[in-house]
Amino acid sequence: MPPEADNGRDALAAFRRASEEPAPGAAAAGLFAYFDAACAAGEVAPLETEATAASVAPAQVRTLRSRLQRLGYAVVEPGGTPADDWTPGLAAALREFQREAGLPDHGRPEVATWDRLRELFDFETPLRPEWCFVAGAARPALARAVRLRLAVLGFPVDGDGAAARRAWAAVMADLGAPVADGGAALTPELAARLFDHEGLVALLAQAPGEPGEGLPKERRRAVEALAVCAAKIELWLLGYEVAPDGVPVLRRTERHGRPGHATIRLVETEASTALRRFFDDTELEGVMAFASERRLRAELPEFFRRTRQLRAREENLPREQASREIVAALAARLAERPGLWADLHAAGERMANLLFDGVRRAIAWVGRMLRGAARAVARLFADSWLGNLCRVVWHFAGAVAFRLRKAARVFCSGVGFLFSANQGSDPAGQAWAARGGDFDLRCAIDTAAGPEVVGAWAGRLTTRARHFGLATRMIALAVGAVRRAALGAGAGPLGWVPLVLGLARIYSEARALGRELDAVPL
Amino acid sequence: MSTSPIGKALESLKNKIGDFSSLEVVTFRGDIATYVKPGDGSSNDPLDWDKMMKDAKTSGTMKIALATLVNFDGDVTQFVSDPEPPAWVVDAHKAAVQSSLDARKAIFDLFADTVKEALAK
Repeated sequence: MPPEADNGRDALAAFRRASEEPAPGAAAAGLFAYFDAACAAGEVAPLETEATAASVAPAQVRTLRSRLQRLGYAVVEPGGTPADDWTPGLAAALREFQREAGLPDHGRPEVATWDRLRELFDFETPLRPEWCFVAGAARPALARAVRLRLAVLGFPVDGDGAAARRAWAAVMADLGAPVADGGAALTPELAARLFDHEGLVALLAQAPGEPGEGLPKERRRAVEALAVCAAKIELWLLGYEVAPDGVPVLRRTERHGRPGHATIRLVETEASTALRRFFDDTELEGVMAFASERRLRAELPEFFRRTRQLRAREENLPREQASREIVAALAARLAERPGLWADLHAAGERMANLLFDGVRRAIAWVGRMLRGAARAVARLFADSWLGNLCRVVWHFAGAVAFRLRKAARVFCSGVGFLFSANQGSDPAGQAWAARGGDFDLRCAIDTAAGPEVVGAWAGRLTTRARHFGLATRMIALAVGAVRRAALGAGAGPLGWVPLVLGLARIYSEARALGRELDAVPL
Repeated sequence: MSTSPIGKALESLKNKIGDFSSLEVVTFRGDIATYVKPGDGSSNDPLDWDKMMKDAKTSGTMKIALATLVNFDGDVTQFVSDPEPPAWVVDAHKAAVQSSLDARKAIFDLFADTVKEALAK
């Protein structure tokens, strides 16, 4: 146990001793000390105001660090820091991103933060303009993402990226989709066009021949470069081993071992290999594994058409056809592994056990916390009405926590009875019952088994069935509570009337259920 | 009839839904050790029930002591072996029947309550 926890326990014990003194009310200010000590001792968990190493999964930390760094945020931390370590520098960079993206800068990577990062990074997530601009000016986070996107599309970015924007706009004009004012300003229209990867692929797919065919040499090369970068992005989205790095020119051809031949290749080794594999996978007639690069370039529009068809097929896949495909895949998997059902069943049981264990622990923790808080306040204000009120709350909180814990155990036992295959006696092998398809039972009793063993086994079977009955009633009660709450919420200003009536009925039923719970042995 | 695993599973599900209309509890008595599956004992179901059922119909070491069939309309069919099993075996069988009835009733009540609540609005 860490020393802080020991200190916390010591402080907690000291406070408890002090609170038993004849005048505990004098130590009202000690309430905070009590909770601080309880937090340090691990008895209650303090509210988190900022993300911590424990609250963010390592994979998320790695992704967050990578994305923030790619956007150009400085993550100040010692050299050699592992990529999945949560550090103050990373938290500071995250807060800066949140400020620049128009989010509360609390330093926690919650859903809104991930959503905005996804919009700025993903090629398949559309950009929502409503948050990107304030009074006509782009938010700094968007400006960073625009520079990154231009770089990935093969337009080197310097300074504020205006030159890269203009170069991109010129290529778009050559593709027949001019951008207003030639890309000079970062406008909502420009951002929407730049982040519309599907629109870019559609443009490139429309080209009748090679990309940029018929244009002057330099402009044709610019169009080819954009097409190669877009092709790399498409291949990456399809799972081929290509990185969308915005590098259309990777190496110069070599002749007789001498670099620097005048022709610059537009498709580097990795990308050309992936392109050939794609054509091989989709059986494009005439494109062989050793097709020349010129042939590959000529086939780029066909490549974009095919990737669009693949995407459209996924989007338009009829639901029933998708179901059939899933069922067929599952059937094939089951044929390969006959024991899969048993594995799934065992995995389901393990998951249910984990879930119930978590629920039990949570209920126990809440009960402990409520009792602790009520006890502390009752001791502090022993002579006042507040103290008496807390004693009452303490009493009922304890009873409620006990009842909830018992209910959770009964629920767990009841559901286990429904799903478990059998119930056995102890020692094993003397009396067993196995469930049939529904509620049918097959019981086996050994000739050596005596009345005591068989009686105990039968009693356990009966108890499990009663647990199951109570469990189903709890489910019905919970369903009723949710329904009444929804009814009350939807009834407008007078919604509290059915809500209160419903809650009163639920309380009455819960009390009756509680009495039955008390009668059930565990 | 389908021969694929999914087809068999669906067929089995259909049969089981039909089987909900009746409740069957069978109690065997004999030498359980004969039907314990070989293994490390970690299995949740250590007994070979299929073999036991098969043997009970022919000449195994397990014999049916009691069997009860409760139909949904309330008709009950019972089988009691001759000679009559000891009273505590009969009690165990009764407990098994009662637990099955209770569990089935709980499920039906749950659905009935839910349907009733839904129809009330």
